[in-house]
Amino acid sequence: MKAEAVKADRQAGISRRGFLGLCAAMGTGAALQLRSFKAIGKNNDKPGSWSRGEVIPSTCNMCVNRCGIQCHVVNGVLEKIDGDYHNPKTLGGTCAKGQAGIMTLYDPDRIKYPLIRAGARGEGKWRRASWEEAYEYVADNLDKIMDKYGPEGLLWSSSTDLTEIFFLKLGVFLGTPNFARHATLCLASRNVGYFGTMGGVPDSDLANAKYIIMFGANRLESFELPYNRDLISGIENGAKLVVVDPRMTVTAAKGTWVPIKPRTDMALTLALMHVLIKEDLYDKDFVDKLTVGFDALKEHVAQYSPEWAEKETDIPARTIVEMAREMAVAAPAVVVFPGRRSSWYTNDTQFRRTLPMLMALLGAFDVRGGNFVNAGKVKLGEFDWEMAPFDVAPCVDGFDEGPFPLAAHDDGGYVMRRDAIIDETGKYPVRGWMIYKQNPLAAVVDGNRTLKMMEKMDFICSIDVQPSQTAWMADIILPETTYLERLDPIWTTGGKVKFISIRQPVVKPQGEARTILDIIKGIAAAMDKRRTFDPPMSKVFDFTMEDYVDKQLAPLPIDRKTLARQGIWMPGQQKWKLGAYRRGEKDFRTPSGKIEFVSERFRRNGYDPMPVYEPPAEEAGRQRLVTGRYAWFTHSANQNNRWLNAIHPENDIWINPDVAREKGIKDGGYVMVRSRVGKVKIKAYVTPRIRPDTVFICHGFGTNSAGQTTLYGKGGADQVLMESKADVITNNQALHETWVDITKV
Amino acid sequence: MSKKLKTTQQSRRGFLKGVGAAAAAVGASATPVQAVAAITEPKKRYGMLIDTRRCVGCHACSVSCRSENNVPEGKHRSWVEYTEKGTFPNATLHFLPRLCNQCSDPQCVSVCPTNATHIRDDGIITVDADVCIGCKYCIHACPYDARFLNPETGAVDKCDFCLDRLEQGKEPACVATCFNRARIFGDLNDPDSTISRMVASNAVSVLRPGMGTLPNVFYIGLDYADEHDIRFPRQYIRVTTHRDENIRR
Repeated sequence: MKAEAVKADRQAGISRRGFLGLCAAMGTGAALQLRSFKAIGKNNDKPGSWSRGEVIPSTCNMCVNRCGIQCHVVNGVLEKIDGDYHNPKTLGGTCAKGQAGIMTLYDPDRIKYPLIRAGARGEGKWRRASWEEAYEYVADNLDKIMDKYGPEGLLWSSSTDLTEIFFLKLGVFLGTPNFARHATLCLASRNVGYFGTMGGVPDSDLANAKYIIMFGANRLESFELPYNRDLISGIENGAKLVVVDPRMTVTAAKGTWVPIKPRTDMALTLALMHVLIKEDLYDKDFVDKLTVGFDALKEHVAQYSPEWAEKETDIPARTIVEMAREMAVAAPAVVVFPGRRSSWYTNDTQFRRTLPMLMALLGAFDVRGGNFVNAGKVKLGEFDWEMAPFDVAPCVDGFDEGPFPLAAHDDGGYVMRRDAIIDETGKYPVRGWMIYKQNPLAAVVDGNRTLKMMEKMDFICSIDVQPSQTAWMADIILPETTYLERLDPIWTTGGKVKFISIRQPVVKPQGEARTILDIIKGIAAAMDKRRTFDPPMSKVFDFTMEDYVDKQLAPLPIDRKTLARQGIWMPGQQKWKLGAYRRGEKDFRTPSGKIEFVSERFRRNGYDPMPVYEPPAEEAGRQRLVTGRYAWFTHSANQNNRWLNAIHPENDIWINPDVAREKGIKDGGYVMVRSRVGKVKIKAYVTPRIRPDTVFICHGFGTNSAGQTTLYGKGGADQVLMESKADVITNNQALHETWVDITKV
Repeated sequence: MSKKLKTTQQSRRGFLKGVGAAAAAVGASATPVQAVAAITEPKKRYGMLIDTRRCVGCHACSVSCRSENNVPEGKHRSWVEYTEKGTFPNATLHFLPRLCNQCSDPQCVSVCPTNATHIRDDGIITVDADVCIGCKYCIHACPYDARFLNPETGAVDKCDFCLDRLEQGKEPACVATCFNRARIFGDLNDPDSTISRMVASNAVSVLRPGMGTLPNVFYIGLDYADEHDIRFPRQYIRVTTHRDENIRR
């Protein structure tokens, strides 16, 4: 996308209508027609002046939670997205992001045909290529790297989604061991902490709880239906919501805000356990039956008194005692919320371990109003891949061989892998990077270091729908279809009930965008011309998405066409059942079969068997940087969406009024934020909703991609400031371990 | 004649128009025949109740409205305001979803020189884009900043409770999309409707009641404080409207 074209797009394509007009003028959208556009206010009194066309149920993809949607399509143009009334997640509602899916589909910035870099990397000079040329280009480069460095010279990056499997399989079949997936940018430490303690991450019955405690979780802004609605209903039903967070998020605004000093959450949880045990408020029956190691825990937490915790956390000892007592009164209808993104600090895994421990002391598990294990998933048919897995080289950084024995090795450790590639400390060089549905330049701590890794790469291919920061730095961008233009594998999920839902095309693809399966097929065929595989690659991927979906649906009493018509399918009458663990019918998936206060697995692998608190380092005069999001943005994915961007066009840095006064910073004025690794100019937002020792920047702004015309030049990037640190047990990147200096510009 | 009476008469006249010219000619005094007609065919008065306790300020309503009504960028039929108050750590944050209040005594209607802005029998106030001359009197008359000049039609535009959806038996887009069920829409003249029962059983308030406009959009847990509030001269209050232009409060 050339700068001129971008400019022209911007001038011409302000509105969706304008954009479509442009499409038609270019001949790309000859079949597109606008709905007989209701002149707003015109003849409003006449009934039935127009009607919605076809209504197609599908599954949203504006974030990763996959709500059910109904798409109103008139003459091949998507006019409106509504929530699906039949979907138990949505019940007819969607969030702002779901509504703005139309604008992602018809975004003037969308990449509509394959683009090959024509200037230097990041210069923004591209030339349009045909798909055949693009496949040959990718295969050429992959082949060259595999010749020189072997298949292990390739790095394979993608984020979790329904279609990720095809991209991953191509990497597996080519033989690379080096994957960098999203887990260590997100929830790896929570998963390992919970699995190590109780063998899984429980669900939360927010609607019926009497006391809900959330540590840093911001459920009302980074939300997932139906938990958002459940939480609000829970509050309406009289639940007390306590949010422990250095910043007053929307979630904190709806409950009691406990402004804790960052990185001291573990001190609070240990002190809460201390009070529960000391005042004899814990659930003895539950602890006797379903836990191991209570005596050791009692001895361990004796040192963590509320008075001690007050010094660490800045929360008055009296408040801590009150919290523990209130919890005990509400127990067992207490939700200790597991949280989701746990990429905060270097001690995250051990902190997350304390949450199920606190839950167990309260007996708040497997009970109405507490935490519970969800209904599981509908079992789908397996697809038979024609190629068996084969032995591959060890990972470049030796991630699979020891440093993180408890982590999931398939996901890789992003920070560690990047270090090994840049510093050449790995086992071998890595020179090619395939990226699908991921924006590592924005998503990984220390963005400048990610840029350095890109310099090491001979070849970068990005498969994306928009010129994201990462795509802008790539050698070739392959345009993928959005979720509104393609059939995806069936999604199966379960909370209190389980169901499956379908994502299907509601409109024709824009420009020449192709589905990921088609793209993988094209690359596979081009690779077959250059190398021999057994069986040939093109044979491995010789199926259509319809075949794949049919295979998935084979064991179920529903076919693809029926599912396409109704959007979701549920297996008969389902009842939400509880109590299997309490009755002893089910065991926890831990070595002892119980909730482990003392983990032998942790001890065996050289970690503290019980969480041990270590005070954080202090840096006087500087502020700790925390990050998060607003309710209408997903990571760095839709800041460039015109409708969503309009709500909050530029991000700002939250500064406490006292700090601002001291530094002479005015609200709305610009400040320079410096950390050890980077600096960013950004607007100040002076607010009492944040602690004096903390500043907050909303993630996803400060793009380097001039192709994102709505977003470019606005706001500052938080990841540029963040130091390259990670959780010690999982290598989950630690986003909140950076101290910054703020000065007035 | 008080404002309220005037409204009743006006709307009754509107209703009579529907019944028939003969009945209208009888005059303002209600005959038994008309009274029977009014009972058998009760008039609707559409209204909305917004429970700000359930609102999380997610802007689903604003974007849904933009999508449904093709509201031009930079203009707003529906928006959400954030009100931030207090000092650390005793700060609060409240949300205020906004839209046209569909007043029973609307000032926008009385100033319209062409009668393009008119009040329907069901209480919804609409603008006839063919008749509107874009003089902006109504924009200035509206105490809620709910109106704007639509650059695409050249006429004044505002929320009409999604008339197109109503005619197809659907709720307005903002109500349908609100997954937290913070918005309740319905007929205020029907005592059994959810909205009537909610209005009756909760402490509700309206925006700027002193303007005498009798809004039909009600709020539970309304906080309409702003930075110019003379009652709290030293208190930190900030209102973020999430609209590009400065709006009057």
